[in-house]
Amino acid sequence: MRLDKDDPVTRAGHMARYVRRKFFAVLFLYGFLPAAGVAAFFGGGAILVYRLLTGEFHGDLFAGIAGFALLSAMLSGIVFAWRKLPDSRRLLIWLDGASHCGGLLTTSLEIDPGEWRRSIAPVVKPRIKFSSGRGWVMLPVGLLFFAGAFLLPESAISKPERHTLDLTRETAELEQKIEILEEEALMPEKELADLNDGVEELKAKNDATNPARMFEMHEALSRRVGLAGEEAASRIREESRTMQMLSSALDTLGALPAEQFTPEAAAQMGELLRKLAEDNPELAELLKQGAASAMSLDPESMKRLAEAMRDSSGKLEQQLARMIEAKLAQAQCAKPGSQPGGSDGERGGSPEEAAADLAEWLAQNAPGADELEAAMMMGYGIGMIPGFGSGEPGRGRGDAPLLFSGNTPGFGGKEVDLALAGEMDPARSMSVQQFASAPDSADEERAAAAAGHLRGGDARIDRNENRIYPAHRGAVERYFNPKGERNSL
Amino acid sequence: MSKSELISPEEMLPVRDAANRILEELDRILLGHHEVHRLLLIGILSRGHILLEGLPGVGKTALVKALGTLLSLDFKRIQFTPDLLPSDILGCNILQVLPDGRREMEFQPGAIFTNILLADEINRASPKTQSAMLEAMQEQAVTLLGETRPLPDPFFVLASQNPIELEGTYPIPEAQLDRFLFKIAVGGVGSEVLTEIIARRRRGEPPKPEFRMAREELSSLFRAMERIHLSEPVANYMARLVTAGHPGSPEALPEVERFVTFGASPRAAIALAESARAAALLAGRPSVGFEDVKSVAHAVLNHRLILNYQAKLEKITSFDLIDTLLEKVDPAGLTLPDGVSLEAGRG
Repeated sequence: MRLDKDDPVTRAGHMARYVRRKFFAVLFLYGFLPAAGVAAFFGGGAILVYRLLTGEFHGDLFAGIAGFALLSAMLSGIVFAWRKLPDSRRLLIWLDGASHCGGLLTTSLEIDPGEWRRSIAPVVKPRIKFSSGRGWVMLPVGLLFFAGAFLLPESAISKPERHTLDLTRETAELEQKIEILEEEALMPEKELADLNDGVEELKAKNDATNPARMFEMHEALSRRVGLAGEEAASRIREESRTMQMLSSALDTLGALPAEQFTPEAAAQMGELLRKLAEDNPELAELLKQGAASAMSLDPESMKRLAEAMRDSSGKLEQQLARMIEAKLAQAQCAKPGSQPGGSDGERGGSPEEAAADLAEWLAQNAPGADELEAAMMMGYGIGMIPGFGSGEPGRGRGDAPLLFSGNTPGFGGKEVDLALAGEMDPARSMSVQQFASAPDSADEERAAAAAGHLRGGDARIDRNENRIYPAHRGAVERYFNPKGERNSL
Repeated sequence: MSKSELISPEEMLPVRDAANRILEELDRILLGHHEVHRLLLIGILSRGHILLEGLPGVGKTALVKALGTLLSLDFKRIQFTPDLLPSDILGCNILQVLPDGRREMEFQPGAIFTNILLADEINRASPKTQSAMLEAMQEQAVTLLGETRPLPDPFFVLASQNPIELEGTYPIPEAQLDRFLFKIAVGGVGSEVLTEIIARRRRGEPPKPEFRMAREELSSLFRAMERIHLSEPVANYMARLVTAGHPGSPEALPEVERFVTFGASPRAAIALAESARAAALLAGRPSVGFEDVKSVAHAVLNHRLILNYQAKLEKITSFDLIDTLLEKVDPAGLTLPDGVSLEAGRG
């Protein structure tokens, strides 16, 4: 049978295809809208993450991300519409039911309706109702998020200041230490270059990719720098002490009358200077500068040399202070007696101590230089040193332990044994010291039998106690208060 | 039937006219029940048995009598009572003395041996009697003492039951209800119709039929029924309607899951197809349309959906659920996403 455009079945077929096209558009929108919302979220998230991580704004890159997100959403919409799109046959069936065609349209899919074509009712034009629901909500929210990520001001984007494996501060400290070592010429150049290379590598790889290796490298570098610093500090301290001792000695010798500063003593001093200069570049430099000839020491040159040495010592102390500040070296308490000229009772400041230290230093550095030592002691003995030989009673060092036998350190007087008479009643005695000590192994059996032994496992200790009796107290009071004035000890 | 050929309009026209003439005559005889008459005629054309449910005095018996007269079919009526026996319906063998003095058992057919049987108040008979008759309905034959006797062709049972006065009744089991093609509720009529009945009909007696359809004409109607085309999409729609009413099936609607205990049987789908064909014939169309299916769906399915107590509690009827099924099951089987729908617009 020949069909024409007015044939109801043909018209219905056209209508079915028309509805299908409309359906595709509607289903595309249905899939595209929520997908666009999701894509906007992902795109915005990617832009936001990029900006947060790098702190940079790349318009082209972000436009690419936006384009990709849009394409993805469109592709999702197309795939969704394609999958959900009803075929024309089903739509023709639907049109049959909706247009009350009495099943003739569906019958036309199977057999020719023949003469019944004329009686087929005209098909209705259907309406497609579309309500996306949540899809509509996602799109504006997603777009807002995308716009927010895109338009977020630069000021709001800041890189995190540090992360869990950030070694920037530690590397900077290390770099500062190496710089000091370099400036003060405290290390060989080759080693310094090696250390600098290590620091550069540390700076370049300062991230979380290989944290264990970074920490290990940092620790190794720190240890090397620390050792170098301590070594240099020790050397500086030694040089500084040498300078101080020498300046003190030169001061003392320079103050002596010419007849008391014997040529032998001068020769020995010269020999000492020469010997020390071999190991002390600072001293060698001073001697080289002609401040004094090691072999011709006169009072004037010794004075200049002592002055130069004090300056040099001061510079060394400054150098040391800088190292301590940079934590290249650790600060140390001054050795008792190392600072001559302290007043009585001050820790390490008495002339006696200075003399003792100088004597000890001479014994170490110039063994056998008797003439020099005698000249030194003579300088101290004639009162050239303030506070010594002035006629005032010397009571020794203020921080010396109180002993009741033997000599107090620094006390030059003669020990006198006193026979104490009086009451020795233990009940009236006063405990002044209790202490524990290892037992006397030489007389183990006696020690074990003695009262007061404590045992703990295999170890043994002796418990000891010192008591002061009224007779002792009276002797001390008489010593400190010979006129019998009322005083309290 | 050849699938490649539809019944021609020329062939269809007299058939449609004959069917509609019966319908018009029924409407003339019994006023105010057009839809009942239509369904009844559809049921007859589908060769199905029909259960009429209605209060006494609404014209159930008169309707069946008129139909029997119009179709020139034998008509018998049994008033079901609790003491009614199967033999009262089916018949029995009676010992007879022959003229020569010999004796032999002679079968006396029961009331069921007719074309149209009106089983009045069927729910008042005992289950044994009900089941004897319902078996005959299915088999179109009666077996007694090992001898099977076919029932006349065509054979229809038009049963009636009263929805009130349920005391002393035996409700028909759901399995046996399924044998009825339709369950039709015969309701009352409006005041206008009542006025016409009172004013024009003496003692309410219906008028005599003005014509009787020849048996050959009825046979031509049945033959035409065989040529009504049922397309696969429409058959698929009917199948989906039935399965959507099955709780637990993948296509079941949420309302069905909530309110239905048992859905309709496959016999329901067959009944739906047959009655939809008859509806198409009445409409003068050579093929079954979706509107034909919808027009018979309530009558076919209402007694086949077994509702649960939740439905009774919420006063949900099977008619409500059938409305939901017709609304939600898409004829074309379009699976559109939520929020997208296709609606009929302008013509």
